[in-house]
Amino acid sequence: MRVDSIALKNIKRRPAKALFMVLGIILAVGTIVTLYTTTSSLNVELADRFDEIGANIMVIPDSKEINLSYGGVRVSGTQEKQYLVNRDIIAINTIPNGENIATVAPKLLTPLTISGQRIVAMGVDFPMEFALKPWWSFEGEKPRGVIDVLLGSDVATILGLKPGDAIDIEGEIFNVSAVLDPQGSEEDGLVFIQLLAAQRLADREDSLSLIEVAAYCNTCPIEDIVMDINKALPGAKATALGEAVRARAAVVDRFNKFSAAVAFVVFLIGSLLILVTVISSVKERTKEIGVFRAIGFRQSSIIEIFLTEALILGLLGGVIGYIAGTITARVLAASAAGMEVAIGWDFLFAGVTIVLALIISLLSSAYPAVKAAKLDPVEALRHI
Amino acid sequence: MLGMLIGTATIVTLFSITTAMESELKDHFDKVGTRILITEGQEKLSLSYRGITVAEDIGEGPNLFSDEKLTALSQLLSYETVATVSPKLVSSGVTDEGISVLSIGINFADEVNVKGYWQVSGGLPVQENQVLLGRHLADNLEVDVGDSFIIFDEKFNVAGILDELGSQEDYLLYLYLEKLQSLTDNESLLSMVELVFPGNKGIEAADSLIDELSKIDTTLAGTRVQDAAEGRRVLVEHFAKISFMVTIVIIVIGSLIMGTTMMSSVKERTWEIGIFRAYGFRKKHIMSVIFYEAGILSAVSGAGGYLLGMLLAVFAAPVIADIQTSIVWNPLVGLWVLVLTVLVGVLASLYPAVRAANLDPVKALNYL
Amino acid sequence: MGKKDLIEVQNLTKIYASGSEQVNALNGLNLTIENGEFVALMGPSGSGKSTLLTILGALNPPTQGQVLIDDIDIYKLPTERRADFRSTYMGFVFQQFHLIPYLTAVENVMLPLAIGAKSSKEQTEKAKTLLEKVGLGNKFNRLPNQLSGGEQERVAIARALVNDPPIVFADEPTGALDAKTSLEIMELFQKVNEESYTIIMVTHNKENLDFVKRAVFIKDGEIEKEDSYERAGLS
Repeated sequence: MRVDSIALKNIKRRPAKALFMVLGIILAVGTIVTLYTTTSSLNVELADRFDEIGANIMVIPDSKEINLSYGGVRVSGTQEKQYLVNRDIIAINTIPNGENIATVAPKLLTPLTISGQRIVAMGVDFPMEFALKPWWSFEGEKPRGVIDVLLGSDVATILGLKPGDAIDIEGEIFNVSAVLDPQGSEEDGLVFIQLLAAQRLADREDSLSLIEVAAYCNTCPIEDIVMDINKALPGAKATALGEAVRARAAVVDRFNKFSAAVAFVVFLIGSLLILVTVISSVKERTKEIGVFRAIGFRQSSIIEIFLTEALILGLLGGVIGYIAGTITARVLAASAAGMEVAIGWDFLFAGVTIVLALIISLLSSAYPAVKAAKLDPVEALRHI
Repeated sequence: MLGMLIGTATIVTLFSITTAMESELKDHFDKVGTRILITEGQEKLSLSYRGITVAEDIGEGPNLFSDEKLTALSQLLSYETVATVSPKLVSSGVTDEGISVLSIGINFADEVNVKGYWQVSGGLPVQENQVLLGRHLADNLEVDVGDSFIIFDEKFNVAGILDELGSQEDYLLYLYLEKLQSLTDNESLLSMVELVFPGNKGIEAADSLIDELSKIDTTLAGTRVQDAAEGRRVLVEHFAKISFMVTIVIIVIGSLIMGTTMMSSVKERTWEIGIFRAYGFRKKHIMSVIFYEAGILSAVSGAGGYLLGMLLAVFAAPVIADIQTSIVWNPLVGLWVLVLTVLVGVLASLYPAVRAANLDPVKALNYL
Repeated sequence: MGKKDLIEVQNLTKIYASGSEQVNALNGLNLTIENGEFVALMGPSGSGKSTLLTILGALNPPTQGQVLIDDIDIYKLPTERRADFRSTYMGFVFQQFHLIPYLTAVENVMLPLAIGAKSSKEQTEKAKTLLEKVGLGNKFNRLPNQLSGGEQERVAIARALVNDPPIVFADEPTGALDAKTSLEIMELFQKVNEESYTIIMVTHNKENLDFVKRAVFIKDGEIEKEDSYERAGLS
C-alpha cells in the first residue's frame, strides 16, 4: 500500500466527508467563475452597445480653413470647398482594424431649391444614419425608397409639410416620409434625402462632405482606429469626438473597474472559503494523524497523504466548479432582460481557475496537516 | 463562526461597492442631464451640420434677445429643478492679421457645467481680457497658452486651450459674456440660453418648461436637445439593473455559505446533544439552547462581518476600482445585514438541531 | 537484537501544566526493563502509568530525565529520527484501538509497512499472515466499524507486530472487553511474548497478572513496589 492509495481509500470510503470538502471548493470556484464571467460579458456588451450610440469619430476633408458657423453666425474660410469621395467609405470599412467599425454614415451637404426656397439638403445613407442615431424620434415612416425624404422639424413648419405630403426638390417630386421631432440642433433645419439622389441633384456624383463613424473601442483604442483611417484616407482628417470618448470613459471604464473590484473581492472571499473548508476538514482528522505519527510515519509522508487528497478533491472541485459556474453565468445572462450575451467556454480562464483552486486547496491542506503532524502523538491522539 | 463572518463580509463589501458605483454613474448622468436650448425667433433653416457650412446665403442672421427675459424665465414653475443656466452671445471678430474668428461670450463657471467633457490645457479665463481657444483655432492662429493676440482691436491673453474634441468647438473662441457684449455693442443681449436639468426626471422637467415658456413668451422658443446622451443613459440604467441582480446572486451565495457553516457546526455538537438527552433534557430545551446560541453567534458574526466588509470596501474599492465617492456607512444596511445573518443562522441550525435532538441518545453519544 | 537491559529509564519526571495548574504525573522515576520481559504497569487511575507508557513509547517527551532504548537516548533524537525509531523498534496497541476508520483490517495492519520498502504484494502477505495468527483469517476486508471490540483489538495487535518490533506497548488492552475475550487477548499476548517480543502493558485488571512475568506498581508518579512471577513453561 502506498501513500497515495491511502488518500484514495479515504475519499472512496468516506464519501460524505470528502463531498463536504469538494462542495466547499465547488461553491467557491463556482461563485468566482459565475461572477467574473457574467460581469466580463456584460462589460463587453455594455461597451459595444455604448459605442454604437452616436458617432465617436468624425472624418472631414483635410483643409486648412473651413467654413464655420455657430448659432447662426458665419465665418467664411476659403471659397474652394473640399470633398471626400465614395471610395472613402470602403476604405474606412477595410482598415486593418476594420472589424471594429460599427457604422459608417456618409453625408453630402448641398444647398438645393426645395419648394421654391434655397434649403440645405443632406444626402445620407438612411439605414446607416438611423443606426447611428437611435435616439431619433419622428412622425411618419422610416424613409425606404429613393424618393423618400426626412424633414427636420423647423423645415417642416416653414414649408408647411407633414408626413405623406409631396415635396419638390430641384423640380423632381419626392415624398415626405417622416418629420423629425425637434432635436435642438441643426438637424431641425435640414432636409435629409438619399445620398445618391443628393449627389445627382447637386451634380457632385462622387462627393461627400463628411463621414460620421461609430467604432467599437473595446479591443482597440480609438486613437488607433483614428490613425488607421487617417492613413487610409490621406486627403481626409479623422478625429475622435472628445465628448463621446469622455462619456465612455466615465461609464464603461467605471463599469470595468467595478467588475474588477467585484472579481477581486469575490476571489479573496472564495479563497477564504476554500481555506476554511479545507482547514476544518483536516483539523477534524488530527487524531488520525496522531495514529500515523505513533506508528512511525514521518511528517513528510503524512503531508503527502493530505496533499494527495487535496489534489484530487481540489481538481474535482475546480473542474465542477468551473462548469457549474459557467452554466450559471449563461442562465443568468440569458434571463438578464433578454440580452444576447454570448458566454463561451474559455479554456484559458478554466485552466487558470482550476490551477488556482488547486493551489489554494493544497496550501490550505498543508498548513493544518503540518501543524497536526508536528504535535506529539499523544497530544494528537487526545483530540476528538 | 468564521464562515458566517466571511459570508456576511462578502455581502456587505460587494453591496457597498455596487452602491458606490451606481451613485457615481448617477452623478455622471446627472451632470450631463437633459439640455434645453432657448433661442429667439421662429423656425430657422440650417446652413451647416457639425460645423461644416455649405451656404452663406441661406437663412437669416441670428436674432438676439434681451437678458431681461431670463428673469421671466426664472419665474416659471419648472425652472425650480434647473441645475445650470448658461447664457451665450455669438459673434464674429477679426484678428489684427485679418483672420475671422467665431467668438462666443459665456459665463465660464456655468458653461463648464454644461460641457462636462471639456478638458483644458492651461486654465479657464478668470479675467475679461482672457480667452479660451479651441484646439484648431489655436493652431491656425499659431498661439499657445500664455500668448497674446489682438482681436476685436483689443489685446487678449490665451488662458487655456481646449483638448481636441473633433467638433465645432475646436474652432471657436470663448471669452466672458459681458466683455463680448460690450465689444460688439450688444449690451444685455443674448443669442441663446442653455439650461440643464439633472437626473432622469430631467426630460419631464425640460418638456414642461418648454411648454410653459411657449405660453408666456411667443418670441422665445425652447427645444430639448436630443443626442446620444439620453440613449446612453437608458443603456446604462439597463445594465445597472443587471448589476443589481448580481448583488442578489451574491446575497444568495453568501447566505448559502453562512447556512452550511452553521449546519456543520451544529452537527459537530451532536455528541454534546446526546449527553444532554441522556441527562433528561427535553427536546425543546435543547432546541432553544441551540437557537439561542445560533442567534448570538450569528448576531456577532453579522456585526463583525459588517465591519469587516465595510473596511474591505473602504480600502479595496478606491484602490482597485478607482471609485472616487466615499463608501457610505449606512446603519440601515447594517441593520438589514444583522437581521439577515441571524435569520439565516437560526434557520440553518434548525435542521441539524432537530435531527440531533431526535436521535437516540446512545446513537448521538456514539457519533464520535 | 539489543542488549540485555533493553530499556533504561533514569530520573524520569513529567509535569502537565494547564493554565495555572500543574500536575506532577511522574516524579523522578527509575526503571529498567530487560529484553524479552512481559511487564505489567499497574496502579490506580491518575498514578501516571499511562504517562510512563507513552514516554517509554517515544510518544511523549518527559519534562526531565532520559529514556535509553538499546543505549539510544530517544528524546535526544530529532523528531523525524524518533519517528523512524518508532517504526523500527515499537509496536503500539492503544486503549481505543485507533484503527484508521477508512482502511480495512488488512490495510490497517499493513499501514506501518507503507513507510518501508516492501512491495505491495509482500505487505499484503505479511498482513494476512498476522491476521490469521490473531484469529481473524476470515475478516481481512472488514472495516473497523464492521468488527466487534475484541476483533478490533486483535487487528490492533496484528498491526503492532507487523514490523517485527522488539518492543510492544499495550495500554489497557482488555479495558473495553468482556471477561472471556479478555482472556483470549491475554493468551494472545502471552503467545507473542514467547516469540521473543518484549511486552510492556498498562492494566488495572489484577486478573491479567496471571499472564505477565513482572508487575511494576506505580502510585503518585513513583514506583511503589515490584513483583516477579514464575510461569511454568516460559523461558
